[in-house]
Amino acid sequence: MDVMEQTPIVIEPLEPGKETPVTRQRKARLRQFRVQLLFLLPALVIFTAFVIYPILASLYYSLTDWDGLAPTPHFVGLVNFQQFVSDPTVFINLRNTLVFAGGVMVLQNGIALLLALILDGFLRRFSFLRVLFLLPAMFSGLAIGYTWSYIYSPVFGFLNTFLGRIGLASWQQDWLGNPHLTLASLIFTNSWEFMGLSMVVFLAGLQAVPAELYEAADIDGTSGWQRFRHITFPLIAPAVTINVLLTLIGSMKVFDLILVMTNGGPGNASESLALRIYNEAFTQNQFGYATAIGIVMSLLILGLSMLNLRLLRKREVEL
Amino acid sequence: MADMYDSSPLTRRRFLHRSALLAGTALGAESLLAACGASGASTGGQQPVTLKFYHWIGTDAGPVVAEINKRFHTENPNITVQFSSNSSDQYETVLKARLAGGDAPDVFGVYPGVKFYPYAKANYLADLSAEPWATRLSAGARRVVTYTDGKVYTMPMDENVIGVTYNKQIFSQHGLSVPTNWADFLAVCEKLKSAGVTPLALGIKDQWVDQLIPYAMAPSALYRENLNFDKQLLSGTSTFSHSAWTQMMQDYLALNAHGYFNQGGLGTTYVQTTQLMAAGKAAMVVNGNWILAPIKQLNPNLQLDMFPLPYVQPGQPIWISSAVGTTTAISATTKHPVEARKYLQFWARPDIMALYLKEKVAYSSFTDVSNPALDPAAQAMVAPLKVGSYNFLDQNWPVGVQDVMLKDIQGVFAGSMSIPQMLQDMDTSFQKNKGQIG
Repeated sequence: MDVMEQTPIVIEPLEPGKETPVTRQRKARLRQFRVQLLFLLPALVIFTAFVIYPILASLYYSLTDWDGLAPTPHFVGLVNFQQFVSDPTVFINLRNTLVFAGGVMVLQNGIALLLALILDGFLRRFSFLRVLFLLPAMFSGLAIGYTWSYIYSPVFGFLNTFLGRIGLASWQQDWLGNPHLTLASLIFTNSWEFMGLSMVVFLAGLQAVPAELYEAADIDGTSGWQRFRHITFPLIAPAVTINVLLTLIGSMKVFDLILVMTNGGPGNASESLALRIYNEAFTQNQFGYATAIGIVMSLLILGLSMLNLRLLRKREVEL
Repeated sequence: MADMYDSSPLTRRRFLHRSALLAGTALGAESLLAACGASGASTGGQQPVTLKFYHWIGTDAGPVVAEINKRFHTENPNITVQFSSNSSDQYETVLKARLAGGDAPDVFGVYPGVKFYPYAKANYLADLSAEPWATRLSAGARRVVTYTDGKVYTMPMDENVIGVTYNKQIFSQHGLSVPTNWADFLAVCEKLKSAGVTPLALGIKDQWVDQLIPYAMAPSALYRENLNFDKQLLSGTSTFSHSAWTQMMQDYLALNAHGYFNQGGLGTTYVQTTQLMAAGKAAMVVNGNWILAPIKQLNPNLQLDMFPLPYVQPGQPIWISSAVGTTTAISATTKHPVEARKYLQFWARPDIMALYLKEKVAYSSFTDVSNPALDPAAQAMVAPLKVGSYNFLDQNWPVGVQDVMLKDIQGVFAGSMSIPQMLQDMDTSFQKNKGQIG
């Protein structure tokens, strides 16, 4: 019976060393990976040296009582973190930092949004204005700090003298020396310095809003405010996310402006966390404690940023 | 025939080789030339040495330091001194970074008293006890440059006093004479205030200024009766909270309550107080004699004079706050110890030291050097100094107490802190850090 006749199926064993298409693919991918790694290596080295290593070193120093001068630090465990929790002045620093960050986030982004809307709207022709508002961000923070210190000075400062000249002498204040006004003055200066940057991001966001939507809105007869609230603002949500996040992170770390303008004064009414770290380390010789504060501050900024990002991302609308 | 076309074409390889050869020759020739040039210019004989001198006196005395370095170089042609300066509030930060990083300057400034103890403890300072000038120091000066092991580690260069600098013209205009007790002082302030002149210029935005009035009060209020107060703080038998400090701070704040200071003292800087004085807007300022030079610079026509702050009852002696302000040390790890010591010995020479003191408008720390060119206003304090004096208080405190005091005085003025709270903070800081001083 032929039906039982079968061609023998021979499975030939692979000759050792001969490649199949699969192995060849794998090897090519490995080679590609090695090349990519080689390109990444310089950046990785710098990142490790300047970011990873200092972070790990900080974790180590925060567990010591190093005074910055002794050749070997002395391990003390979690004492610095315990001190952080029980130190009332550190909470004043934290409060100052949060107030400052909140104020800057609102004021800087508010002014920037307003400017962006104006410069994208009826002042669109004057493109040099965009450069003008961006100029303060180009200047050195120290120069801005010193200049504004003089403006705010109660003795010969521009602001008080100007108010006196226009008959508003009752509005004259000790802008930086009055503990209730210090943070507000600092918030204003910081916002003035960086509003150009936020404005540029908002402008970019505004360009991305399609013109057809505005045309459709015009046809339906919407007012300016309704246009803003229902079309513009929702569609620039990505720009809002970026700006709020950047201002949050930047203002939580504020240091040079406060150092130059008030050095944390009067008392500690304007002392931020970063300034406190600097003082603990370099005037009090408490490098261990300063590093511990630094670690807590970094974790705080990280936590707030992630929370912020999650809340704002939800708002972003996909077109 | 084919040979005709066989001239070697300029391939890429050839081009690169030729360029490399050319570049190498050029660089080699250049370095050869440079070497020739350098060796030709070097002075025959001793090895040229460069000393790195880092200090904060460049702000007040830059020109005279340059002059002294020039004279030193003339006498020692093989030694060049490279001077770099920084303002006093940033000075220590940079110095500590350099010392920790192994880049110690050969000669550098340190603050007198307990402030230099951490450096001595970490073995950054060379022992200068055997230097020829060490025996010529006045007793008070020698005390604040000696470490707990009894050795001298740094050389004092000038002394200063805290007093009241006043505008003679304004005083004579309002028929005022120099007060000799606290009640008279307050009367003078009241008279000036009703005449529309700011009695006292206060610039406490710069934290270091806010300590000066308590410093000026303390010798008369505290140390004249009890020289051992600082030792008692160390042993715990006395505290800031239960001492004349409470009364001192209350009187300090009372000056503010009566309106004897300029408006917005917390927003006014030290430099702005010199401007207030120079413009004749303020009649007096409580500060060190170092303030005379900048005021004079702003307004050379001003007639200034000084008197001790009379924080006393009528008829009682006034003690003055006076202390070594500047000292210079030699790095323990310097590669040029001989040259560095020579440099300090040069500074300690009477003629050179007199040159420096004249520019700095300061008093001498050496028994055989006096400042003949002392500004007449500063000269006015020499006689009162003989009555009695005590050094700047932080020179006997552990590091940390002064910073708490400076910050808390601002807080008290701002109204965010009470006087008992401030003194409590100072006591806590003292007890926490007293291990540094024994």
